[in-house]
Amino acid sequence: MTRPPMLAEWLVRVACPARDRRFVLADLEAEYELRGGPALWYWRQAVRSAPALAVMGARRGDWEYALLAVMLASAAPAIFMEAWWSFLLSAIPLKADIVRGADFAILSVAITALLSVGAGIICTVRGLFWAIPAAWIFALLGQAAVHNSAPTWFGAATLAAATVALAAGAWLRRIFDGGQLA
Amino acid sequence: MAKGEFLGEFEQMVMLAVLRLEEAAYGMEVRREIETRTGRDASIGAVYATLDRLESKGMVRSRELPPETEKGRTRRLYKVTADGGRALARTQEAVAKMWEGVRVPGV
Repeated sequence: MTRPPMLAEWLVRVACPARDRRFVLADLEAEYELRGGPALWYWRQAVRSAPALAVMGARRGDWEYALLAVMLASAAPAIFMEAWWSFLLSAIPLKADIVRGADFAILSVAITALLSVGAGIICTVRGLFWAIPAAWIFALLGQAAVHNSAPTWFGAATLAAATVALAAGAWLRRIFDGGQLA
Repeated sequence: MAKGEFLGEFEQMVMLAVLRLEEAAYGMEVRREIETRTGRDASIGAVYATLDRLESKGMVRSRELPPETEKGRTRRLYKVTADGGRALARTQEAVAKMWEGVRVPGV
């Protein structure tokens, strides 16, 4: 009996929600054996299954998917703004006395809010209790890592923006789940 | 009639496979039934995700069955509910009405 390709199995394990993991993996392994162990078949199944399984977990509001979305939503603005700043610097010949203005931080808060609405859709209302502090901490860590500092007003603005945006996302999800927008 | 009351193409295939398989409607068997009957090489992830979506809409229900032998494994058996059956019939009726009197060029 040959074992399924380890990396492909890991991909399914990571993407699949915990509730279904053992069924999906066991089903895949059973058919893999039945077919005589074609690694390519297993890989194709794993690669094609992973997005559908991840979406299933996200739609159900499983906490690990919500956490990932919150982390991405809160850390992404700092990374994006850093990339934008690097691009600006590369385009300016004389770089002396160029500092980031408050508009950079304001834009960062706005992007956090925008992405947090999307992340909030994955959260349940109960899940907001940890999603809000997680988003806040990740936004501050992202800001501190990229800009070496996180001003007080930025901390307060991020907390407010993430709270409102995540709650709005979770509220939208409730409407969708209730079928009112279906 | 709201859009959500009709089933998508793959949803129909999955539900019909569950109905055909009766007491053997497990995830991989559903996938294999679709492949055998339609030639469509569906992924196991798509089948589970569709069954999960149908279950959340109350069109399918599932229960875990204990292993039959000592070395066997726990499996999840799916059944189509009465709501699911009605949605399937409604979709078939709607599609049949759309086909009435249609002449497809080249066929």
